[in-house]
Order: sequence, then C-alpha cells, then structure tokens
Amino acid sequence: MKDKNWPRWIFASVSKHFLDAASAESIPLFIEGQHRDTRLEKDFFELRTDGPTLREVSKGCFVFGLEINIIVQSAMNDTNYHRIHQNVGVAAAAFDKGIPVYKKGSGPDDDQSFVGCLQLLQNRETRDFVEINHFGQIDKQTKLMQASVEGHYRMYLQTS
Amino acid sequence: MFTKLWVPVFAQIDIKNTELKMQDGTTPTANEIVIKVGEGNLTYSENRTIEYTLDRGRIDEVREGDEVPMDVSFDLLWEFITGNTDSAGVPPTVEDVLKNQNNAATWISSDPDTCRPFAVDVIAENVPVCGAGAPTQEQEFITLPDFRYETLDHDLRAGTIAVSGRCNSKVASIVRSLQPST
Repeated sequence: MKDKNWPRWIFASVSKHFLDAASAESIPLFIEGQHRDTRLEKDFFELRTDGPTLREVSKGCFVFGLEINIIVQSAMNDTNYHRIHQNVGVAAAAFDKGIPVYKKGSGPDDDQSFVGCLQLLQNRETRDFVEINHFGQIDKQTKLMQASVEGHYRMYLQTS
Repeated sequence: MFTKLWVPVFAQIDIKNTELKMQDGTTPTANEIVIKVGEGNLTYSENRTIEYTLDRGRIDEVREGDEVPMDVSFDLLWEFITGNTDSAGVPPTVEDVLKNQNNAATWISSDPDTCRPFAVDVIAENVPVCGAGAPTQEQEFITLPDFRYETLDHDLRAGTIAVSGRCNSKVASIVRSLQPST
C-alpha cells in the first residue's frame, strides 16, 4: 500500500546526502526554488529532483524512479581555470552507488528509521549514467560558468 | 491508528557490486585473481534430472535421476591473453589461470584429485552498498567449485573473451554474512 510520506522522505534523504557532500568541500548547496542570495557566492550547487515515479510491479512491491540533477555554478577565476571542473567532480563523486532513505522529518510518522536504498542506475542500453554537461559562460556580461551533473536512481519497497 | 508496515528490499543483486574472482587450491592462502568482466556477465545454471514414473498412465512415482554438473559462463575484458613473464610479480591473466600455464603454472588445482584436469574455484562476492549508516549491510559469497573451461570464444572486435564450462558440482556453495564494519 502506498504511503503519503514516501516522496518527502526520499527528497529529504537525497537533500541531506548531497548537502553533506557539498559541505565537506565547503560548497553551499541550495534547493531549487529556495530563496537565497547568491551574489556573494563564488561557487554553489543547486539540487533539483524529478520524481519519484511510483510503480507497483507486483502485489505490494513498489519501484521508485528518481532523477537527480545538480547545477554547478562557479565564478570565472583567472587564477584557476579548472574551478568549474573541480566542482563538477565534487558533485559527480557524490552520486554514490547507493543512497539510504530514512524517515526524515519532525512529524508523527518521522522516526528517522531506515526505509530503503536508492540504487544508482548505470546501463548503456537505457542511457543511464552519471552525466556531466558543461554550459560554459552563460552570459557575455556575467563571468559565471555553469554545468550540470545528472543521475538516475531506483529503489524497491515491499509493503506487507 | 492504522499502522502501515513494509519490508525494505535492501538492494537487488547488481554486477556492479559483485567482484568476480578465481582461486586455486593452495593452502592456507589460495592464489587468486580478479576477473575483469567489463560490460559482460556471469551466469551459472544448477541442473537436476527428475524422473516421473507413471502407474498405468497416471502420475505416480518421482525420483531424482543422474546428477548433472553446473553450467558456468562469463565474459572477460580482453587486454592480453598471457601475462608478462619478464617479472614474477606480474599476476597471471585469467586465460593463463584457466590453462594452468605461464605465470599461473605453479597454481594448484582446486580439485584435490591430482589425476583430474586442472580446475579453479570461481567466486562472486556480492557486497551491496547503500551509503554510510544504512543498517544491516550484508554480503554473500557465491562459490562455483572446481570450474573447468570447455570453450573460450575470442572476439577481437569486441575485445572480449567468452568463457564457458562446467563445475564438478551440482550446486553453488553460498555463504551470507554481515559486512565487516569499516
């Protein structure tokens, strides 16, 4: 049976996973749609997720699909032209083979226990891989470089 | 309040979490090499023969027939067929091991009967990962004992070698345990 909390727990767990990875390298991470002032940030990540898609493949067995996208933004730096590539590497390295999902939150259903394991999809035929795209300098007047890192995950849950 | 329960399916087995190895029969520490499968696969089939005996046209007795060895096949990333013999420290290639030659010439068969052709154990170590802190991280080691190849299909364009053969055993030996804490 479906649970109303599943999408929220997945999003919260994924956010925490990538926040930890970015914080370890002192790179701020924002969530898409979050109000923030980035004028003084030389580098930052922006996290966006699509999904989860939800499919009951057999009785009580649900398969979740999740697309995770991180926009990497770096101010152009004449002393370190590789800056955007370094940050893209940090983001790509955070796309671990497994991301644990917990009942994160402060509501009555949120006891912080383990829910399931999001597994990174890597398959040539279905074009599932950690994909890095560089957009370069996005505006002639603005010395900013942008890139994106995207990966797809899947999780199984068996309900009783 | 109505309670919803579910059982986490921790992680479906994935070849990306599974290291494939070959081990010989050296004791106490066996020689072993990692099989580079690349984008290939490993498959094994456990077979048995069941004979159904009819009683005047009706289904009646059942018994197990002759034993059947396991079929095993796997793919290799083809780098070199044979190891560099200039240095004793260079590990043998999988094909050297299968043929008990060159840098693997001193490997001892996994089959204790020395009159039989050379054999190795093929081991698949499934160690699923789900990030730090995930509970009950278990692992499973699947041993296909006494494997002897029967066919080596070499594909230059694909850069792969497809190995197939059989084990002198009916079933795989499987051990499941908790992952050691890191």
